[in-house]
Amino acid sequence: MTNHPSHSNGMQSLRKEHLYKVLVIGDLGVGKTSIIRRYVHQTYSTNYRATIGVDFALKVLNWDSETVRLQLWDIAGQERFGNMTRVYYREAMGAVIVFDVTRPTTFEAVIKWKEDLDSKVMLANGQSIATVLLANKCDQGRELTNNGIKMDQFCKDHGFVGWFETSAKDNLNISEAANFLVKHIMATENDILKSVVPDTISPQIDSNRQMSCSGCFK
Amino acid sequence: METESKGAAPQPQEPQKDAERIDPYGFERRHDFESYTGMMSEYVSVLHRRSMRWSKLLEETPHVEKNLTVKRFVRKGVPNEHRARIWMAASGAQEQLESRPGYYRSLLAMEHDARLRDTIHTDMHRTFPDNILFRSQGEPGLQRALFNVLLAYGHHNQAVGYCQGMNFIAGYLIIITKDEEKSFWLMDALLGTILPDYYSPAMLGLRTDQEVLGELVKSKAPAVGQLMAQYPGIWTLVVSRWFICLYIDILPIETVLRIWDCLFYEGSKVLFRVALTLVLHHQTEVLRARSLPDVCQCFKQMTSGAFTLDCHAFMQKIFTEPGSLSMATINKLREKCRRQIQEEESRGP
Repeated sequence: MTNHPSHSNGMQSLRKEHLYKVLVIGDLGVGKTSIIRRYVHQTYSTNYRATIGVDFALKVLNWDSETVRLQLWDIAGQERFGNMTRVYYREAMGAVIVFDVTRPTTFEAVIKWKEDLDSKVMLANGQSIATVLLANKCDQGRELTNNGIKMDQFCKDHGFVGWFETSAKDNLNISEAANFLVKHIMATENDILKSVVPDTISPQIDSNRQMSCSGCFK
Repeated sequence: METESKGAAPQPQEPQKDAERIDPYGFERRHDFESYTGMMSEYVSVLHRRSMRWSKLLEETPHVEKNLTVKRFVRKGVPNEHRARIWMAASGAQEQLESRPGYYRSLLAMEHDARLRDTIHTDMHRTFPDNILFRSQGEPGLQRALFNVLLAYGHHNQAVGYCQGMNFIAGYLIIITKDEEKSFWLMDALLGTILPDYYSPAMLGLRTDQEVLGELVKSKAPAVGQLMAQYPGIWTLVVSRWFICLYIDILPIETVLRIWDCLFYEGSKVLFRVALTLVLHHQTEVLRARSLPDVCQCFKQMTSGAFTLDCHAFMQKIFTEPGSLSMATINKLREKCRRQIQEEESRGP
């Protein structure tokens, strides 16, 4: 559908392409589908029906001189779908965990979602995949996130690369969060390439590698 | 799809037109009203003929029997005015309702599990937002009925509780029966008797049936089976919604109701017939797919268009196109696939 072989693009034949699989997870009704629709189709509606099972969407980004293809996997929020959707976690490079700022229980579930994610997928180097936390529906309230320092600490404690207040309705911070995630995915990808292919010209000292993911906060 | 303008008053210059773009079930059809009415204008003569035949049949034998004549009648479609009655009788729901008077009410009156209630509540405005009868402020307030049926069912069948997808099913039942208690017992007939365990937390019956479909496709269209085998978990991705929602939101409403006629009368086999017909009929397109997104796109497209909209022709196709499909075959495959899934599970991730 969008997978044009790059050699057919003439001028663009030298563009490097990245394909990243990104999981979008979180409790039911937090706005996962709305975020994806906003990001991919630039639309918003209050008429979305509950997502059953799994769905996915594609987003193509021009990233400097390279092309990034994001495969966004919209996973139904109800716990029981977890068994069925497990196979889709495979080979994911990044994840977005969403909660609804107006419903505290959805924030309480974030840790459970993160643990579940880490138990189902990890990078080739054994680290967990880059994950951002989205405090969605921020147009409706900020009580949960008004303490930014606390949120930063929460992210640090639970291995998120960062967090954003988002609103799919008002189009707030969605592409910023996505770009932030892509940046982290690319950084970890470079690390993995360095560590997996030993005879590249890269310097041997990569002691900072361990810190590359959780170390850099926004 | 946009709602910003939806709640507002109709366009002043054509107030009539906007109001008319709603089907008899309450669904707004902003984008496909013409194709819907086009199909209905042809279908109405079929409906009229079936309606007369059914009235005569029910006059002669008011008790809905299981025999070849009635089966043939059901496959040709139950007229809407008889639907609730036929579904209730054929599925055994009527018998349950009569033998347990007051039970439904007692479920509503009991103390409710707060978590279950919240989960159901979250899906209320996300069930049929495009149906005027299900708007929270809508009269006669079907959203309340929907909530009640799901809450009662969750407490009646605690092993299942509430699973997303049940909201759509209960919604259709309420639209057709216009009665909470009947909807509740039809729901129970579906989940308790007619369908395998699609909705319990392990969803084993659902995962099994997805694999069964894969096996059936493999034997009836080997090339498609081969293509699909390249992508692990693909059947879940492309057909889980078909089974969970019993084709609601996948196929046009008239088509879904015709499928449900058979579902209540004959059982769950019809779900495979529908899936197989869709896949077999579109194998050329499927075989052109070169990537996972291609396959998904193809499966999304095969459910729309004239082929599925013309419900009468489609229902004839499902009983011819996939060829013979015995219950014995399905039972055998169900057993085999279920065992495989359980073995894989016991081996761990």
